[in-house]
Amino acid sequence: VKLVVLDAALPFGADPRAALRAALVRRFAASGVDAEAVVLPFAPEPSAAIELAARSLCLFNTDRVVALAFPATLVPHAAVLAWLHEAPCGRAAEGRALAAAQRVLAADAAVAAAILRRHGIAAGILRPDDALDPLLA
Amino acid sequence: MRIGVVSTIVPFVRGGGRFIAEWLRDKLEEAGHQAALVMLPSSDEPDRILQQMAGFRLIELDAHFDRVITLRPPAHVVRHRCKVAWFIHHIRGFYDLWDTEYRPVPDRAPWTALRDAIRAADTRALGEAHRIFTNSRVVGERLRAFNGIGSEVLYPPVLDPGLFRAGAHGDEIVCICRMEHHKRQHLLVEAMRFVRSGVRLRLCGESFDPAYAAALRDTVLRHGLAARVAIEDRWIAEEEKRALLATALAAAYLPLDEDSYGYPTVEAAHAGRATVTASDAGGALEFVRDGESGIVVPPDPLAIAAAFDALFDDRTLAARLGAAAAERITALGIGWNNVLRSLLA
Repeated sequence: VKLVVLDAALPFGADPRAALRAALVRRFAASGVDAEAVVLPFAPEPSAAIELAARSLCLFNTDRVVALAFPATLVPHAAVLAWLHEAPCGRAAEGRALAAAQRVLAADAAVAAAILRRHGIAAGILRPDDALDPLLA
Repeated sequence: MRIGVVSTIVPFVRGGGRFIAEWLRDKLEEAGHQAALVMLPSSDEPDRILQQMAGFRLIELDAHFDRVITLRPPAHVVRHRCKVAWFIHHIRGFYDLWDTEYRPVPDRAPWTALRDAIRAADTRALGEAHRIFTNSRVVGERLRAFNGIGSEVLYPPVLDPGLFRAGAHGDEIVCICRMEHHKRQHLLVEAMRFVRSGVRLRLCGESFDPAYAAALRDTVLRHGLAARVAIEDRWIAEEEKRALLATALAAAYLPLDEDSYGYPTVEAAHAGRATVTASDAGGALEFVRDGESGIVVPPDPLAIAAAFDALFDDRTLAARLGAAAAERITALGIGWNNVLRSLLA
């Protein structure tokens, strides 16, 4: 399985999930999954341009995507698992993308509640230190 | 200076196209700049190319960088007030390979319109650049012919040339590059059927196409070459590569009409090894001069076998060509100082 951990962070900007991405790639590799982190140069603040740009990208040679945040969740792929670590932005495009994802998970109960409130989607909870099996199922 | 190194990647595919970006970022930082990689996922699927280009145009880069340096296509379509293109190849199926078996779509509408739109988009985006460099004369000539755009050649160096070492010449020709059909390792294996000396062949590199590596192995078994041909279709770490080159008889690199001289050629030269290449190898011919810094043969197994035998039989020839290959690096101005000076001017 070729699994991309997809995220977004601005160049030279705050990157609160950098350690998480690196750890995920290591943990996937340890369990025999070929994993690579891909970071898109987008701000977390939503805009029409960012949404359109993210939706225009293409992930080739990839069996599964674990998207960690907006707007990485918008990148089209047939097997997206959204694992949100922050409250969703609430944009309609994000709601459509999450509805189309194979599975939606939240890193804690507060994020799950925000996903339910803003998009009406009941997300399971997978904490960062939990076993990664739900991301591979 | 805040510099963005902007390129494209296909996830899980490693090779020169990715290295050049990572190494450039490292060298810019060593020189005291703030440098960041912007690696955009991309695909050459025909019906996605224009869409990706449009998306790239929407990415805000002005706010983060004083200058961006673009590499693998179609990264050059990004917008920035000071964009320097170090253009390493076109999406060739829509350019010089259009009239070949490598054309990705039929030669009729609407695909001809797509081809023309891609070319127009490339021309416009490159026309916005502050400066344009190519990694070889071959690519520069294609830019001139297809896009009407002039450029300067800027040969890409390897990251740490000083780590390569030259030991005694052994019995083995090594080919260390991705194992793909257009790299033509099959010609090297076929050539081993015809050698008359004790020369051996080692093929190393990851393959995007497992069937190709399997076919190579099948050829080896079918012709009873297992004792003399080693095939390792896996990623070769840098130190392992340096060790293989240090004791090799020579290197072989026979891509079909490659864009640049290819890292395998210059890596071999850093180890004092000559490269055997083919007369239709493209950019490799800018580095390898027949009988001076390597051997150039027709893409024919018999001719390749004769070159292998010549190097095996005459180690002074192998040493002389290898030493000249190392000198050619300097003669061509291949080095990071030159790269940074050019890209930051």
